[in-house]
This record gives sequence, C-alpha cells and structure tokens, in this order.
Amino acid sequence: MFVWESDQVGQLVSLLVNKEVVEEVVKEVVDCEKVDNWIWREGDSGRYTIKSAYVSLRRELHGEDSLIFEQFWKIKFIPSTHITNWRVLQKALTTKDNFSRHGVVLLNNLCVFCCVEKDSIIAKLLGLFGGCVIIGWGVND
Amino acid sequence: MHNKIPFFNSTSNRIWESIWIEIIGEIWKHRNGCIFKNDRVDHVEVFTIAQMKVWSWLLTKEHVIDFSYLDWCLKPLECMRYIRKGN
Repeated sequence: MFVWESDQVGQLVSLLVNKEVVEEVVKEVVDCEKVDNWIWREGDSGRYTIKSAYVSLRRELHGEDSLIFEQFWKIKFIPSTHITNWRVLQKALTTKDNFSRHGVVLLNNLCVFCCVEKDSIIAKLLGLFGGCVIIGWGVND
Repeated sequence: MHNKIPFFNSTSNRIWESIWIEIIGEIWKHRNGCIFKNDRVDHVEVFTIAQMKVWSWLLTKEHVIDFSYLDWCLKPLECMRYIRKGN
C-alpha cells in the first residue's frame, strides 16, 4: 500500500459495516458466539458489486466534472492510453509534484529533465503536444 | 479537448480526439522511457508512433478507413475530411 492510499482505505472501510454488530445493537443483545460478517453499505444486497461501487463513485461527480467524465468516456480509444489520459485530467500521474502532495518525501520536486520547473505535467504535455503536431504534420501541409 | 472542428463530421471529430489522446499517452510513455530506460528524447519518434497507432486503431477497431497509411501521413486533414461515416 502506498502512503497516500491510507486515507482511501479509511474511506473504503467506512462503506463497510459489521453486520452482526449492527443487528445486535438494534436488538440490544450481543452474542459472542457468532462469527463476524461484513456487509457493503452501497446497494441493496449487502454484497459488493462493481456496479454499486461505480454508482456510488459516480455520485461524487457534479457539474463540470460530471460533464467531462461523460464526454471523455464517450471517446473510444486504446484502453491503456485512454486511462493514462484520464489520469492526466485527474492530476493523478506519478509526477514528483504528486508524490510530494501525497506526503512522500523526495530530494526535490523539480522536473527530471530541466531541473528548474516543478515536475507537474499538464502544461508541459500541452506544450509538447503542440510541438509534436507541428513537427509531424506541420511540415507536410 | 472537446473543441469540435466545424468542417468535420462526427466520425472525423472522434478521430481528432483519438489523435489527441494518443499523442498525450505517447508523450507520457516516452517520458517514462527516458527516465527509467535511458531512452533518448525524440519528438519525431513520439509523433511517428502516435501516427501509426491511431492509424491501426482506426483500421481495425473503428472500420472507418478507406485510405492508405501513406495518405494518412501525408494528408491527414484531407483524410479526416472525407472519411466515411462510421458506426
């Protein structure tokens, strides 16, 4: 588990409840003999399903975020590349900038190439994107 | 990212989005290669791979291509403008 994931584990555990405890608190009797059991709070069945997790995560998106989500996933493209792009949009790429934001201690958070600017990616990607198109296709047209 | 190009039909606009996504993805991969495998920084390589991958994706998955790879490299705008409507 990575350092920044500990919060997320906390969030996940909060979505689970101990079924026996809940039932027994309701009935006001605690039976120590019974085996403990976890239930998933999202959805009706109490069992974890990918769909219920999706629905619960999707509910967190509002307004513009929601629109970007819809537009972005409408595009069909090579899945691995598509996901890399989603991580760009979510600012979730493993840049030094992100490592330090999540409390990982680094020597510095400067860009590996220029060693001057912060190692955050979006502006740089956009610049390089423009550069690539100009180099590749600009000369042909 | 979602600026539609007016003289393109919806399929062409989808291709335009694919190009965008592929180039960003390829830059990221290239950056990782440079850092972790000591590859040389090479813009032209990034672009060429992206060009090729978009082409092969469109050919095999989207079934919208009726022009050659050569045409695609030389006149991409023409190719996208006259692309047939996909599924």
